[in-house]
Amino acid sequence: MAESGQESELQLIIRSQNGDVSAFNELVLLYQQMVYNVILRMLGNADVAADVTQDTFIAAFRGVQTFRGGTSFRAWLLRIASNQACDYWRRTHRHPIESLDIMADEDEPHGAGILSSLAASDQEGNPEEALLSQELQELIQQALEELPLDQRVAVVLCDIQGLSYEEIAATTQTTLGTVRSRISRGRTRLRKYLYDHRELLPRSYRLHTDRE
Amino acid sequence: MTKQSEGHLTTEQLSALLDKQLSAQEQAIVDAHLQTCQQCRLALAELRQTVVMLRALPQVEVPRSFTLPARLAIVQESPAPGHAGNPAGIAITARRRARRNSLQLVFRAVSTLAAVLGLILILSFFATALPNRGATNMASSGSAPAVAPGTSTHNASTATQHPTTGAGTQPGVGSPSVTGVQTPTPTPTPPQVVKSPPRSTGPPVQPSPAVFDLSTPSSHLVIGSVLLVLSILGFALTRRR
Repeated sequence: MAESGQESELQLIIRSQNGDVSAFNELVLLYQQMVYNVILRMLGNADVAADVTQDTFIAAFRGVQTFRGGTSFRAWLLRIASNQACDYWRRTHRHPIESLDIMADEDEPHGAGILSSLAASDQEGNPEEALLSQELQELIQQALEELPLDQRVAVVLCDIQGLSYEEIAATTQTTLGTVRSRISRGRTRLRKYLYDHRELLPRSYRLHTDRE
Repeated sequence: MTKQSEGHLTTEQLSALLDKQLSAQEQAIVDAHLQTCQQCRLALAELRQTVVMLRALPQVEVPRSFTLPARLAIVQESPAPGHAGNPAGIAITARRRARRNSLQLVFRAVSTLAAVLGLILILSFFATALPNRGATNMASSGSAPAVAPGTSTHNASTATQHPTTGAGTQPGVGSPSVTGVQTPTPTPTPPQVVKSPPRSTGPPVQPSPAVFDLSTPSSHLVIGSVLLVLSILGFALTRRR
């Protein structure tokens, strides 16, 4: 981002802190796409995601006084967003999946069963399959919703929004080591889920562990 | 956490490798291992494939704009700027809640009024009808025609005066013996119920349905119980919130 852009963002934040809704709304327009997508990937439902996104911006405006300059506003906003999404998920899902319950799965050595050859899409180079089919998108979405919340936040921020580990650590208020661990465990779970549903994957994305 | 001793890389190392998050030392170890271990190369490829799929998920367009309404500014201005928690959102919900509360209060007041009216009407029915069964014509010649209402809402407002005065002046409470004397022939007179005699004092009496005509004790019972039921409904609705 250009320096002038950051400058103006800071101006908008200061005006927001003085109660200027129109200034805050400019920040909303800057970030609503990202906030909505993070929440949508975490919760999986467009209508719910819209409501939670709106709640996020109301909560952000309410608490904008607590934002301290010198830190990332995006991380601050995404923290509110992910907290709102997690709260919603916990309210509506009374059986939270604990991080620990399948630790054994995640830490098991790479057995020959799961990890053999892979038909990589880059090798086939079929550009049409760069676009995920609707079915595949839904499958990945389902897989995301199977993740424990801490891993889900980390994976969504890292792999879907492309945030750095540092920014994820700032967003989730954890250490880099925790971020690394959560992303790793989340990805491993996703891989396992996709492998378990491999018959739904297009050929280029298929994890060819069943070949042996 | 590392499983170097077992000969293979951990998923965390592979995952961090994809994000270039390994320390230089770790990177060297991992690189060296991958050179020789087919299994870990495959594991890395699978993990990479998973990440590729995640990154290929499209960004979804927002269904609407999430900008906040300008009226938030008015709410925000009231406390001094610099106060940490000026809860604009809370202000909205508080205002909404206050509006709901006042609505609820009005609703309850109306329900209470309806309940009282209903009870009075029902009591007046028992007071007039039970002691002397055939005194329907008495009721019609009482003060009722003076307040005979045209509409049902009128009904509710005027009825406040009517049942009390009716109970006082009409046979029920006042003098059951007198009414008994005054009605020697218990002739059923249904037509009289509709044609209430016009009095010089009252407003022109409109022909209204028998149910809304307060001049008969049975209509007192009907209207009274309807009001009672409505008030119970009103209470039930406001309590549920």
